Order: sequence, then C-alpha cells, then structure tokens
Amino acid sequence: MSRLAPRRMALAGALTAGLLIGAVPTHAQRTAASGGTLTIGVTNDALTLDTTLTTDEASGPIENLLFNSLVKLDAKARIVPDLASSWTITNGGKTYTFHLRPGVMFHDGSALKSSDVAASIARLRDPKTASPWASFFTDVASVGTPDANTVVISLAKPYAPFLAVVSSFLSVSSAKFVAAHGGKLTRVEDGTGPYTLQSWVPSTSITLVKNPHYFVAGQPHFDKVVYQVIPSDASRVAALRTGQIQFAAFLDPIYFPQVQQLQQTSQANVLHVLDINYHMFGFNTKRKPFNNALVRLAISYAIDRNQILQAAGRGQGVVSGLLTPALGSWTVPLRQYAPYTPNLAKAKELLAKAGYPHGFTFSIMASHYLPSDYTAAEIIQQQLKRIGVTAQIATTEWGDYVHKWVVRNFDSFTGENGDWTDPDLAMYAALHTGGSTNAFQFSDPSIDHLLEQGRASTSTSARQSIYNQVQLKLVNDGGPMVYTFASYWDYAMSPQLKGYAYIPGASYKGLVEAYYK
Amino acid sequence: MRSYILGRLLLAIPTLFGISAVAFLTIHLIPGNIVEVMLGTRTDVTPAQVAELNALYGIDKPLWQQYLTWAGHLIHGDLGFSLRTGLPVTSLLGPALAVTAEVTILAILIALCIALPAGTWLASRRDSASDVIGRVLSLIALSIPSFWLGTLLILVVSIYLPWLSSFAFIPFLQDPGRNLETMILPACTLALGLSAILVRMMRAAMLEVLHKDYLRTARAKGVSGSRVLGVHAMRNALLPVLTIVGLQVGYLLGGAVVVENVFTLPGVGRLVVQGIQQRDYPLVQSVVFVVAALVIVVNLVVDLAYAWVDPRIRYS
Repeated sequence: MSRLAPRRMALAGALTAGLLIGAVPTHAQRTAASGGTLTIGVTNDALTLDTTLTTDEASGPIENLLFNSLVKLDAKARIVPDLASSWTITNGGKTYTFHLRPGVMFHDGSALKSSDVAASIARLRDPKTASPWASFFTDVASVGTPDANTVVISLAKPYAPFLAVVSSFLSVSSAKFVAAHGGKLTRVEDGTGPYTLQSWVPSTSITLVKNPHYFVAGQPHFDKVVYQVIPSDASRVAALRTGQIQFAAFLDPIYFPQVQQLQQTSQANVLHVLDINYHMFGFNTKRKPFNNALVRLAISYAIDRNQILQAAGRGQGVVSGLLTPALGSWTVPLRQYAPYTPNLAKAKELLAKAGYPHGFTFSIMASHYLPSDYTAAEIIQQQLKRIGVTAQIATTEWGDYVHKWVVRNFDSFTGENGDWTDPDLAMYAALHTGGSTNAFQFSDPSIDHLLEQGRASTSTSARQSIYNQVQLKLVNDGGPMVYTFASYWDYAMSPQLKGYAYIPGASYKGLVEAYYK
Repeated sequence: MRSYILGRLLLAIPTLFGISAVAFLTIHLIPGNIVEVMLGTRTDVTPAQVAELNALYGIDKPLWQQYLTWAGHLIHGDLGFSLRTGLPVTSLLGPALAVTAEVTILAILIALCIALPAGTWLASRRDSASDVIGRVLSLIALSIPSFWLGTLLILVVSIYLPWLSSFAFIPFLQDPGRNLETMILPACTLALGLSAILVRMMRAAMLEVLHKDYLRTARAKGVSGSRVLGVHAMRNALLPVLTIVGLQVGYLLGGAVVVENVFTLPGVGRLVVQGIQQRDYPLVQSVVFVVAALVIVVNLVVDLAYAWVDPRIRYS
C-alpha cells in the first residue's frame, strides 16, 4: 500500500539520525503548561482501533496516543524503553527478556501484568485474528511469563530487526478487556497510552481525553485531543488559519506554498521533513523484455530522476535510492550509483546488447490514487521516447491496481514503497525470491543470500556492509525497480504549540510531550 | 389517485430488486476485493493469512450466497454491518442522509428563491440589455465548477469572515444556529449552478406562456402586470422547472462529494466514495439501495406535484 499508518512506519525511523527535529529540551518538559484541547485536522476517519487489523493511514495516528508497546522509538529514532523498562538479548540473539515498568495501569484502572503482554502477542499471532502483521512474529517460538513483571520471548532463529518489529507492530491491551469484548476491538480500547477514547462520531471526529493513570509523570499535557476529519487540504489550511485546528500533516506538495505562507504570516509553524517512503518504477521480471537485466539497466540510465522529482514531486523531495536519506547511515550515497547520471548513449548501447536496438513497446500501470506516481509515469513515458522505447500508460483505479499487483498482471508500474524501520523490512519481502511483496517476481540467488545473512546477523557493522552491497547491486546491475525520489511532508502547527518532537514514521507519538504556551 | 400511487409503488418493487442486484454486482465485480485493498501493496502476508482475512470478511463464500444473505437481511429492514468499521450501516447512513438531505433542501430553496423571480423578470424583458446580461450571468454561474467555487469560498471566508468558517460539523438538532452556519456556504455553492439552470428554464417556460390568450384576457380584464406574471404566468411555467428540481433532488441525494469534501460535511457522497475505495461491500450496496429507493419516492412526489401545479392533470 502506498501509505500506511504512521505507527507502522515508526520502524523506518529507528536508524535515522539526520531527521531529528524539535527534540524537547528537558527544562521545557519541567515548565510545560497543562490543559487545553488540541484539535488535529485529519483527512479521513479511522477505520478501527484494533491495532492487529490496522492497515489504513487514518487509524494509526489515534492508536499512537492510545497504546504502548514494550519498546518504542525516541526522537533520535533509537529503540528506548516503553512498557519495558529494560531488556536483555541472550542465546545468540534468540532470547529476548523484557522487564516491565512497575505501576503501569490500563485505561480501566487495572494493572499491567506480563500475562497481558503474552496475551497480546498470542492474539496477534492467532489465525482467528487474521492480523496482516502476524508474519513478523512467525519466528516466535514461545512467550514465557516467569513472573508478573517479566516477559521472555524465544525465537526459533536470530532475527535482527525484532525490537524494531515489536515497537511498530505490537500494542499491549488488557487481556481481561479483550476477552470481555470477545476480541472485537474495532470501536473500543483499553490501552495504557497517554490518552483514552472518549467519543467517536463517525466521519466527523474522534475525541480522546487525558489518561489520569499514565505512567510518565507530568504527561500528557492536554486535557483533550480531538481528531477532526477535514478531507480537503485547502480546508485544513483554512482551518489552521482560523485557529480551528492546531496541528495537521500535509503530503501533497501542491499545498506546501499555502502551508508555508501560514508560517510567513506567523499563523503556524511548519516542519518540513523527509518521508521514509520512496517513489519507484517497477518491472515484471517474468515478462519480456524486463526479464533481461540489461533492459532494466538501460531504462535506469535513460531516466532523469531529477526531472521526475521536479515534475511529479514539484521539487519537494530528494532523489533517492531504495533506502531514503531518512534511514541515515544505512543509505548508500547517490554518487555510487552509476545510472543516476542520465546517459542515453549507454542506455541505447545496453538495449542493443539486450537485443532491442530499435526499442520496444510496453505499458506502465499507474493510478490517480497516487497522483505523484501518475505524473511520474507520464514523465517516464516522455523520457523513454529518447531511446526509442514506447510506453503506454494504463490508467488503473486503485482497487484494480492492487488486484493486478497481487496477481502480478502488469508490464510495469509506478508507485511508492516503504523502508519501514530496518533494511530487512525494506528489502526481504520485496526482493527475496518468493517474497510476499515481491510483485516483480525478481529472483537473484546472490541477493537472496545477502538478505538471509543480513537478517540473521547481530552485528550492526556486518549488516551495514551487507545492505550496502545489496543496494549497489540492485542499482548498478539492473534490479527490479528504478528508484526515483523521496518526498517531504509538511507538519503545520499552531505557534502556541510547543514541545512537539518529530519522530520519523510515528509523527503523532511526538504529540505526547506537546503543550500550549 | 390512490390506485395510481399504489400502482407506482408496486412497480417500484421490481425496480428495487434490479437495483439491489446491480448494486451488489457492480461493487463485487470490479477488480480488487476488500482484503486486497486493505493489505495494499506493502503488507508482508502469507497466502494463509489472506485466506484467514477472506474468511473474516465473509468473501470466501460464493457470490450468490453472499447476495442472498444480504438481500435476505434487506427484506427484513436490516442493512447489515460495515465490514471495515464494524458499525451497523444504518448508524452510518442515517446521519449522513440527514446531512445530505439538509444541504440539498437548502440549496434547492436558495436556487428557487433566485431562479423563479429572476427567470420571470428576464422573460418579461426579453432581448433587452438586462435580459442579455442576465443570460450571460447565468451561463457564467453554470460554468463555475463547484470544487473551485467551494475552495475559493473557504479560503476567502477564512481570511475575511473567519466567524463564518467552520470545519466541525454540528447536527441541526444539537445546535440549529451553528448548524446553519456550517451549511450556508455549501448550500450556496450547490445552489449557484442549480439556480443558473433554473433561471434559464424558468425564462424559457415563461416565454412560452406569456403570449397565451388567457394572459391577454387577464390583462384585458384589468389584472395588474405583476399579478399576471407572478400568479397566472408563473404557475403555468412551473412544470418544466419542477421536473428539473425533481431530477436534481435525486442527483443531490446521491451526495455532492466534492462539496462535502471541501466543506467537511459528513454526507452520503463521502460515505459511499470511501466505501467504494475500501470495497466495503455491505455499506456500498445498502447506501446505493436506499438512495435509489429515495429517488423513486422523490420522483413519485414530483409527478404528484404536477397535478397540484396544473389542475388539468389527473392521475387514475
């Protein structure tokens, strides 16, 4: 899916160093004022509060403030304690022992116990729950609760991104509450988060109120948080101007000038931050001529990524590889990517070598649901004419697009992909032979081997080297995707809103420490 | 009259049956089911997990079985549950329909208040400078897209009349005053285009009747010019206008999605578009069915209103 709940993307920031914005100074926390209502303008109503079934972009921001996991990301995108105050990793990376924070209470006033954590993991993994996130916990062999404050998770084999997975995909709910509701948690919740659900008016608003039992002293600061559904970006800009909302996120670069104008007139403060998704042009490597790596490489040389960024992304982003600069040190510098300098002569040479000296005709599947990617398809169509390749754009409704992607019925497509929070999550399912999101049907034994090594290794430097090799190989040898650019997000907020810390991929969690001044 | 209404209502039964089948098939036959759309293109799932989700949402059963289950509930007045939100469709559709009906009625009232006098006046000054200007203005109003006008109104009002700009919808029963504040701009946006159509329709219809003998007779009998226009001529010119209003009510009840999005109104249009995007089958099927039923009723009411406007029309 092109856009996922920010909670899901939290992981992508785990290794990010370069995107830290507005970390809250300690003295600000001490002097933070309490009270007031924070109204957030959101584009869609949430679909569910059941975190095991959340895949939409609207539910995550609410769940961010209702639930906790064992660990979380901080503003510097490091894994830090959440419900677990500490943890140890033993047995060669196969055993994780979490020590729970004492005195944590659920919204209903009952105390958190290790059995609640175990039950939350069990529910997530239960086939009856049908959670799309269960596959991340496949390697969990057992969950033990030696005492009320200790959780021991044993893995069948080492899995390097496990903590990042826990921070993004596991939310802890009261086992008693879940049982009392027969596991139907779409409209109810009993988390441990800083706010608790007060009311939900479908298609209109969701109101949360302060959790008096929250385990971090002095937090949260607002009495109430209201998620006001305002679908139109232009209307959300107007609502910020009139002060009817105090926080809103914008992805469509068309509205960036209006948002930034609010800053110029002191009506809002704006954070301009890089997304952890990347835009790309993907190929069906089982179909001719894209079964030939030389053809894919030729197209990569023929494409001017900067032009695509300027036209499709309105210049609001950066040219990017598979891991965007938001992933910090995991990202390979662009200068190491030979095809990132357009070279038509080289492209034509490669095409001739591949047996297509006069080019060929193919189709690009594109959806208006992803407007930037639709425009990107149009630009690519024009650019490929220069090497004698004719692309026909197949305009496809979003549901149809997903269906064709699922059944692998396309020549090529433009779209977005996510880096999540760890290179393994960004690459394994998408590039490993038979991977569930490997719609390209790409298969390269050497890449498979590297991905398996990267997943099993517990050494950060070894992993760094492995994923560098993968990135370079994928770009310089003609991988299944041509990566184009990563976009910016604009987070606009009232000038009175202070203490907000942007956490890449979990931007609404940063509101826990926010307050009015 | 009674037998006519009964006949029309009986005719509605096969129509509604057809609509239920079409509503069901169209949403089910378009590619991409609820689980595929839910998972999108980035969720790492196994085929077994997909099968579990298919079973969870009931789409693992044959299509005919799914239709019979839904239609069976429908006959008993049960619109079912929205798959993605878990809420009864009635609890989503009721408030949405109230919002859409309110904005529709307000827009039509505003449009009629503009169109009836303006159309009559322009007809009485046929081919004069004011008639030409009026026709040009109505053409401009007809050409303005509602998304552009709505967005412009929102921005202008937020700068110059911030008190009038509201993004938090308040139901009428909760606070009528604030509800009307939130409704006035969307109603005006919808009314502009509608009034332009009605002005032109009213003008043309008035021109048809202005030369009729009975008006000459009325004038000869000393009836004042304004009464001739406002009572004798207007009533006879109303039939085509009424037809257009009837058609527009049906159209607007389906939800003016663009206007609802721009003005943050939680109406039927937004509900059904979101439902289609998420392939929320029971929601889309039931909303389409209910709106279609309402359109049938509105058209019946319009047909009956003909008899009120023109007593020569008799139904039997």
